[in-house]
Amino acid sequence: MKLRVLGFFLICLAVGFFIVMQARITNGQKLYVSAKTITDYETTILSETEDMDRINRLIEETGKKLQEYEALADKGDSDLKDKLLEELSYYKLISGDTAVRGEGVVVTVDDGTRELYEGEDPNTVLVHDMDILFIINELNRSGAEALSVNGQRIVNDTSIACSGYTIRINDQFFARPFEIRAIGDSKRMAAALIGPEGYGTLLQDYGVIFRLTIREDLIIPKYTEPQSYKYMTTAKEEE
Amino acid sequence: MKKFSGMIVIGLLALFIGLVISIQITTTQGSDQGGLIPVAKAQGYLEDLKKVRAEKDAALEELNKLEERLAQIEKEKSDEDFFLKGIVSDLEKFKMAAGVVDVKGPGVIVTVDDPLPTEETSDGYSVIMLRYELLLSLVNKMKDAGAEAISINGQRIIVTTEISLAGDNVNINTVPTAPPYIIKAIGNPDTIESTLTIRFGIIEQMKSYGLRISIDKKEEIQIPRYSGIIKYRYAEPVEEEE
Repeated sequence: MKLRVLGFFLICLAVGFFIVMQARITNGQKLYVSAKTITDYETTILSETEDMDRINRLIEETGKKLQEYEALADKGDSDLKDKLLEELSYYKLISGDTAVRGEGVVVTVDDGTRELYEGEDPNTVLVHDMDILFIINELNRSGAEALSVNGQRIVNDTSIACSGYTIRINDQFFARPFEIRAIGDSKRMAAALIGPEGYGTLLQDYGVIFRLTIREDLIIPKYTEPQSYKYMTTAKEEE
Repeated sequence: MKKFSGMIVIGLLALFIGLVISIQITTTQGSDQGGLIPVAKAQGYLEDLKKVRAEKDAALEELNKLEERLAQIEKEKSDEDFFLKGIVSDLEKFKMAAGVVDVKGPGVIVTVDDPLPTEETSDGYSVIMLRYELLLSLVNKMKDAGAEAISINGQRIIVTTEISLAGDNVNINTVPTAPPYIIKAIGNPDTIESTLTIRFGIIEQMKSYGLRISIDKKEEIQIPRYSGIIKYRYAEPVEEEE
């Protein structure tokens, strides 16, 4: 009888021990980190290094500009004025305040017209804001330089919002069909969208109407609203 | 009694074998991604990261000095000439619109991190990276709520910014990024926060994937400039015809 009690006691002890061990191992993150954490660190380091390289390139560029400025400042006002006007047109160009032309693609997307399968969600053949976002993202990925949707120039703070039957872009409402224009390497952009894995192909598979044409020359209008900001100011430490 | 003691011994042995097997299983789980790495090694990476960040800060400081000098020349000259003054103030405006200046203002900071690794889910892949369209949508919602400047992990979002899965990384402005994702937006903090946290909204959608998200409203946040050089090769300005 005593031996039986002792045996029972031992088993209890072992079970308790076992539970403690198990708990310790699953909490072992304190001792060990997962491989993912390490790769995340590696990527972050890579990212910061790359960013630093770009900043160094900017330093080079700015240094050159500074030399130019200094040389011009000594010469006279009219030369500096020309330089500043040149700068101004550059920043107008990259902030979307100038109409641009060049080679590019025109993408037209429209709601699908095919019959639905029984019980199929009609949303599968409709165009959504996410679709437009995805197409723009794909175009950007393949080097688009300027974009417009239904004639609205896309600028830094343009949002594309689905609101019922219409899509709101730059606070103006548009309904289907949607025409996205992009200036850039037209072959690369076309390949990214209509390749076998492309987003355009995916949309076509769903039954959404998706057409892409390559254009030798197309014009994208400038952003018409004044770009003014209520909340943000330059972060320069001002006196 | 004797036959009972034999059973107890066997029982104990079985228990220990079971224990050994279970330990073995828990330690080999997830090891296909390289297994567990001691914290000490991770700390080494942390040190490296700190070093790189310090270097980057130094480079940024140098850049700021150069830009200050440029601004000084512009200012000196524009004080003499009324016409130049107009150009310089226009320049400031368009630089800001192009996203090539550091900016500050009130706004929100959203932190998105992968779900805590559990026994069932192998921690080899990142949920937020596979679902990078959530980031795309989040940024779009912020813009819709009137955000004026947005950055993800220090990368300023400008018009041509792409968020794309390239291999194992999510590239933003062609710079690889990794979680946790810190998304900063300058704008009306209340509007942005409510837009994001609306029921069945983007934050709820993200949380349904198990992502850990926190939103902080801040009086002042800083957002860095776009660090690349913008140069158009295809797009040419069109002469304005009045």
